[in-house]
Amino acid sequence: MRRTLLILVAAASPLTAQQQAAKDANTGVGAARAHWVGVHRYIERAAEQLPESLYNYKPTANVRTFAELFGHVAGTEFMFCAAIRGEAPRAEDAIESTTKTKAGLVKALKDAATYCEPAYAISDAAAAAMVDLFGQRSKLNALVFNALHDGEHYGNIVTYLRMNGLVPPSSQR
Amino acid sequence: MRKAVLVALAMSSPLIAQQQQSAPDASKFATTTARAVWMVPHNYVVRALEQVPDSLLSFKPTPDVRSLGQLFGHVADGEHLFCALALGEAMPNPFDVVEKSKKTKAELLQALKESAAHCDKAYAQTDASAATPAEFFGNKANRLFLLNMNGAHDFEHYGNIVTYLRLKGITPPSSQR
Repeated sequence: MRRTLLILVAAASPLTAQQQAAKDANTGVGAARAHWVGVHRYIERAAEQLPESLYNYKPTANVRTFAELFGHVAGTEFMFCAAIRGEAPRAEDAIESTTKTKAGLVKALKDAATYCEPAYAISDAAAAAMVDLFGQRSKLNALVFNALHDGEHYGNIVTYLRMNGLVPPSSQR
Repeated sequence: MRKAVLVALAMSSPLIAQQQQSAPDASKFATTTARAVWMVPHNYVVRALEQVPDSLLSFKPTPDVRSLGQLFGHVADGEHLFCALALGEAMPNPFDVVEKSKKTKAELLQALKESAAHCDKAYAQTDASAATPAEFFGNKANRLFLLNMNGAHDFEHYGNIVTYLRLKGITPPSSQR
């Protein structure tokens, strides 16, 4: 599992982050985007690789299923990024509670990524603006937290995959 | 479980970070933000360890993953690694010392305390300093990227820990009220 750390770092494309930061003068936002892209792609790949027959799997009673985790990630990305984009609030569980199929959840994850890209394209100066997201915070705080929240649930997904004998995307060669 | 997001968000509020400092410092906007967010998973990991008995540290849900104790050690090792590089220090070699050598709850709690102290120095730098290029595992980035990566790495493994705890009927810190 040590290699997971190395791949996680590599997949976050630090060179791209640096180049992007130089191009857009958004060092802070660029660093946040690099992490978010890396972990989001792992989750998307996990959703794509997981057989639909396992989507309702959960390792113990009082946790989310795979499907609910994928839906929660997509729903929360929409929630964070709507606030950053200054658009109408999105319910965190809007996808988790309604979308159950593999095709629907993979699409939801891709749609969430597309929706979040403009949020991660703002400048550092714009990211200093405050936004009301469960209390006042800067947009940069919300962008960084969105990526880390994805990481938390990718950590759940990794353990679920391992318990089913599957190798998570971050450990694949 | 939905409440977990709300609690975590509240804990990552920049206002909390600012309250821990003498005054907000515009020259440290990005690093202060990175620290505020990093503190969320770091504190969850510490609180999880505090509530886990020593007897559960060897638990692993399937053979080819880290044990619970190894996960806590890996988080401390990761923090030392990312924060050393973010400070311009040499990369720890080997970088799995804690995971390999610290086996008890008391040892692991101490290790996490030490790694947090190491990281506090790294997060104290200015944004201008954090824009300094940094290299790790042959990749080029900047120090801010590494600081954010540190938080992301902690949260990923906290996600592992959450599932381990749930499998043992323990409510993780992020879901406690």
